[in-house]
Amino acid sequence: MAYVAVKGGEQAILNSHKLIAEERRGDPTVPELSLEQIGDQFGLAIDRVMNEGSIYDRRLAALALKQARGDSAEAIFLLRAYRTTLPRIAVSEPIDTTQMTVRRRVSATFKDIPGGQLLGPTYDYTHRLLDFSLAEGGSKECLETPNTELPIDSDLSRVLDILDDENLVEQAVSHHGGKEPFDLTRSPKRLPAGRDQRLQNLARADEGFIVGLAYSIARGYSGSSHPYVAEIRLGELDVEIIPEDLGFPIAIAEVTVTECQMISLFHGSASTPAHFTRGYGLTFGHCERKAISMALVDRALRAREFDEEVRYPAQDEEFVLSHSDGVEATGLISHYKLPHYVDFQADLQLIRKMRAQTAGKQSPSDDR
Amino acid sequence: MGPITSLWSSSLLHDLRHRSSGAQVSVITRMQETIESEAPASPSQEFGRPDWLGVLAKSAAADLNRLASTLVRHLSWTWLRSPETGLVMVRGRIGGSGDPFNFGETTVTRCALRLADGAVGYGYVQGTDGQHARLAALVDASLQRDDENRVPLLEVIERLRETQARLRRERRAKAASTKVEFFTLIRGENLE
Repeated sequence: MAYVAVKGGEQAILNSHKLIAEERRGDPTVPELSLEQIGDQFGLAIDRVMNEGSIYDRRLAALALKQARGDSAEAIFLLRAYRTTLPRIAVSEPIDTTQMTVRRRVSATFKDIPGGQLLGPTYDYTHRLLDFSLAEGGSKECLETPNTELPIDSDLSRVLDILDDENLVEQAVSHHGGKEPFDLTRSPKRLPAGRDQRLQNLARADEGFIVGLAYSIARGYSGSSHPYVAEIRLGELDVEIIPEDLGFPIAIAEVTVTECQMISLFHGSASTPAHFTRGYGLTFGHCERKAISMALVDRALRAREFDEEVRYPAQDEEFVLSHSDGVEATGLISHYKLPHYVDFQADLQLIRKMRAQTAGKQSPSDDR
Repeated sequence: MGPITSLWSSSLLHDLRHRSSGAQVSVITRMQETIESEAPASPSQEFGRPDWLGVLAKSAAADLNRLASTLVRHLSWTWLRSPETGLVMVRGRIGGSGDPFNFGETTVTRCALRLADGAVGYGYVQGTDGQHARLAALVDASLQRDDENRVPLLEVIERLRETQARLRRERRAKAASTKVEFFTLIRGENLE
């Protein structure tokens, strides 16, 4: 990178740090936010920071958001930087999303699903009108969700596992047996990428970028047809590890995840009959927009697998994997703000030289 | 708190006190995580070291501290490994049931210590709290001994587990209140 370090400005930088601390705190007569308040009341902001920061830790995410004055990109950067200071203790057993304590589960394809459709906490059916009662020191009464007499099944199977009698939907089966999945935190991106690498990249990817790509897919910038949400589920899961010093599995953590199974019509190829193909989205916390988009992009990136022509950005894994990481993107974009005096001087000289050359060529034919 | 004491019939307690220690001791009940089962289930399931380590790992630090700190305060012990915060890579499966992929990490703090009599305890907790891990390790070490501390500590584990189970039950019950039946409307259906 053509960037030359500069010296000086220490006092100005220190004062800038003081100023940012002052602005972060805001009016000192207004009570300071606690991490608990941020964690409880800005839960979806926390979820986004955990996903893209790629660390499930609500308290750290709340701290990062507080320090970043609510800027999710800055908070994500802080978490990623902190991450590099920590050792890897273990790798979990793959989570089993059928074991989830489900709080929300909907299907846009199957109306009657065993276990039922559970709306859970969703904005989907709200009127999106500003609630001015919240402006006046909170909701008037704390609304209690009624506990229902009807329990939900403790084992809610995946919709696609139970409603595909005719085998019209692609199965999600293991192809590679015991092969270690690719780990982007350990190795640089490698192309062509397996689906494991792509999904890890998408799970950490900037939500805006992934939603934009998914939108491009939906508007026709991909080969596939209208996609459907076969199932979205939200809930809590145990994470199991087998600590090397113990040798038996223990549930080390509980995480909230959102899982999205998308299906889309595939017209078939020489070797495969027409069927529904799948895209998969998985996020920490409650991030449906990201999960749906991830599933759409996952499917689009499988173009080669289905002998589809790679024509559009969302199908191009080099394009997607290279530009999806918000921290990398922010880093390069932000560096333009830093002093580039020497580079600029070089370009300035170059332009003067080019002009002088052009002027030199023109002058003989100039009659004046 | 749930009906903890009701889980502990006097005969069961008596039975516990006279049981030999070991990693797999058949103890008390495991609460069914369904809404209707507020009453204790049959005391037939194993309640072993993996169970209590899991309950300790997912406990809230404040809860564990409140319930267990006085029970282990008198112990003398030495570090085998002082608390260290690190990451566990959480894996998912492609499509939910296919090959594994690396999904994202979560923070975990671990430590190991040895009691004066040689019992070794491991503390593994979610998050970054070293004190939480130390307390978990002390409880783990104590639970492997067969002394008067064992029964109250098992009670602590049961209470923590009940708190965790209750949270899940409540989430389920609230979710159940949002269960819907969607109807497909057919045009002309209401014309009669």
